[in-house]
Amino acid sequence: MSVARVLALVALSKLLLAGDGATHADWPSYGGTFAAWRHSALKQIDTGNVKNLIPAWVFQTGDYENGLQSTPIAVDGILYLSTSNSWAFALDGATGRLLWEYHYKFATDVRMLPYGNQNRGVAVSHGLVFMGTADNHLVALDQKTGQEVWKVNIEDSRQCGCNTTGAPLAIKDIVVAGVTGGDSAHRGYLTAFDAKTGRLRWRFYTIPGPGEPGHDTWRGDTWKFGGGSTWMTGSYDPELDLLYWGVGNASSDLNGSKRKGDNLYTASIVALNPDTGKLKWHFQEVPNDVWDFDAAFEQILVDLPIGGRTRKVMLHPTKGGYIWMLDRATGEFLKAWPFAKNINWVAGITETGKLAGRVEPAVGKSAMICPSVAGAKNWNQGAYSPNTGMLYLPVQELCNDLVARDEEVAEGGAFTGGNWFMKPPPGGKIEGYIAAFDAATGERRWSVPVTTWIMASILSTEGGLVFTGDPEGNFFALDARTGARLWSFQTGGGHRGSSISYAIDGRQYVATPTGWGSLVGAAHQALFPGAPSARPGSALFVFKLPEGAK
Amino acid sequence: MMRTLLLLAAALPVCAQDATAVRGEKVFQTTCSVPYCHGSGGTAGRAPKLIGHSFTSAELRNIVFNGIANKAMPAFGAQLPADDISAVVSYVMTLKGSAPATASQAVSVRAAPAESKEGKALFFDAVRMGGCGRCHELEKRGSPVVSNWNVAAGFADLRSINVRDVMTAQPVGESAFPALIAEKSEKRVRVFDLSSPLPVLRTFAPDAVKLTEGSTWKHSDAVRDYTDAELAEIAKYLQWVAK
Repeated sequence: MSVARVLALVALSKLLLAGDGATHADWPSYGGTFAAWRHSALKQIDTGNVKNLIPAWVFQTGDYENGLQSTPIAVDGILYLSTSNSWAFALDGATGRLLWEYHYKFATDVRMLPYGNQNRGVAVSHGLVFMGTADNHLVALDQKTGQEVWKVNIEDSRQCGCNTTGAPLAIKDIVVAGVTGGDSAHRGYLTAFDAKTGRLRWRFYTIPGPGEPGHDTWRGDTWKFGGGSTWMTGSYDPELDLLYWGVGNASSDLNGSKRKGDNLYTASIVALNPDTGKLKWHFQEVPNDVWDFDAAFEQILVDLPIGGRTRKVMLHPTKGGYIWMLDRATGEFLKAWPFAKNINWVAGITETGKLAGRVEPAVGKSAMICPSVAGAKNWNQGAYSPNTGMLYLPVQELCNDLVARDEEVAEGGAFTGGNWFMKPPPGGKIEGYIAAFDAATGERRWSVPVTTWIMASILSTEGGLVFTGDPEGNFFALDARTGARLWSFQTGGGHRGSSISYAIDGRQYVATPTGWGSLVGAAHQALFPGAPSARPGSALFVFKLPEGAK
Repeated sequence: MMRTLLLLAAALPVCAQDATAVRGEKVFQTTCSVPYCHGSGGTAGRAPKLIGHSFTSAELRNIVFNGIANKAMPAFGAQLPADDISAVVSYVMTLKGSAPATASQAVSVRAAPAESKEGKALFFDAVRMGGCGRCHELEKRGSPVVSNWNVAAGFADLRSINVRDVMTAQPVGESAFPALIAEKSEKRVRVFDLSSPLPVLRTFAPDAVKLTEGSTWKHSDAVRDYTDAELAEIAKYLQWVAK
């Protein structure tokens, strides 16, 4: 092959990959690809044949604490799965055969941590499998054997009141890990480690220290305990070479009186240079947050026609019930639209992206706020389909009475600054549904109610399907264009994880974690009295079309 | 028949207590195990785990009734009927265990006296990414990277501590680095890589790394972020711990 032809092929493959945030045979990263679409380009399973789906295999992890909230990673036909107690597994994607398992041993007692022992997934690169642990370590395992290669303590969890529950992000030659701690007296940060050696590359503090720009948005020493956790997984744009991460709420959560000011960079999106950890731009969605409204959730990177031209945007659905659209090259605010019906914490968002008409909790006085601290959506992710141009989100209509409180600061201690009492929306009831929006305009296309709520992520596929699971154990497929229910399977355990799709030897599989649990999961019976119970457990269910079927 | 009745009667108080606990579990599910508070069945949520706690029922009743001042635990005295409070206390008492589980017990560490408080804060300084605590564990804080240090040695000069345990590790195909041995067996060699501000525990096959005595690494490099005055405060703290 001539050099020119090779170059032409490289150029072509680059062209094809540009703007392609869909996964193919592999599911290589937490959000599918670094663009976090949670959309698979596989289309063997489609709207016509999905009714024939059958279980291919089931894997029981044996770690039955806190359910299974993980996203499996699929690379070259092998699935890498993590569980609540920081166990990791490698499984043959076609048969479910166990290739290796790794049981992390906690260095400290994690049961006392306010964020619990749970784990949302691993990252795979450089022949290594990276996993954050509930006692705040990051470990690297040999991808072939599961043997530990390196391990580093990110920060003593007993001191910071923080730990690692989110999936790391492996980009370039680094692995990036965020930490919880947004409801503790803790100063948040994001840390990057050398993928091969585990050595520290950089740490970006989400709260600027003395002398740094933005430090003056804090009063006194509140910056030392101001929250700004990085508990979910970020995104990455290889062309712009920018790493994006969502920063959590300011702490103490419900009482902003001691930290008057914007409190940068809490409840913000930050864009960082991945080589240095230096801030390129930031956009703060909730200045002086007093509602526990994280900006921590998925940043979906898409190129969309906006105002007559194609723009590189980021779609960012948040707890507060709005989807924010930013220019991801510059951080410029483009627009925000509500995706939930019950929103009263602000009257709206201005054309320049500012909050209008804030309704704030006060010390010793109850304020009815919608959505609740659990959010109109929580961390379980939505999906974007380039095929339909729609964004699919799990939505819950749930409010709470918030009462702020003055609270003593103790490093690493709980620092919520108030209490919350979950309530149905005024004049209505608590409800959950899956909603589809036009990603460019925000127009609601359809919405499908569920018995209780959806606390699992959504998967979209090129076969015109949207998959997710409910607390009662049903894993089901909807028509991506209409929301019509096409298939459902009772897995016996509540759904709290993130399903994926992958292919081996030309055969498409859909895998879903099952098993109820976690902080919000514990509230199910309280919020939905009389509803079918959400069963705990920890198993991976994998589906395929019957042999010979097309 | 009489025998059966007697048995039933004997069992009654236990059953009544069970029934209260069952009702208490319902109250717990709807009031305590709610988003971001206690976990279901008394597991940890944002609020502490209650399984295995060591409260007396009077202590529990007091906490449920009055809350905990300046903490997230609210007072339910005015929110719940007395029967519900009794029931939920009964239920939580069924979770009691012998192992210490409450937050106050888990961190039962002597409070540092005023003169060593600043030294303690500096020793574990989060603004310095954990400071000395990145390598040293004291009073249930920090990372036990250095396992054989003697706090009682009464370090006068924290810059010039002899670190003869630090070796030089030379992995195949990689630059040498200062290392502390954590494990050496026929199967594997584990060393802490001290070239990183957050020490990395690295695992090698025995033939994949060569270890030699001595290193260019100095303790003065590890404490270079501290001033002399700050180190003097830290020394005061260490002297207090050693007592």
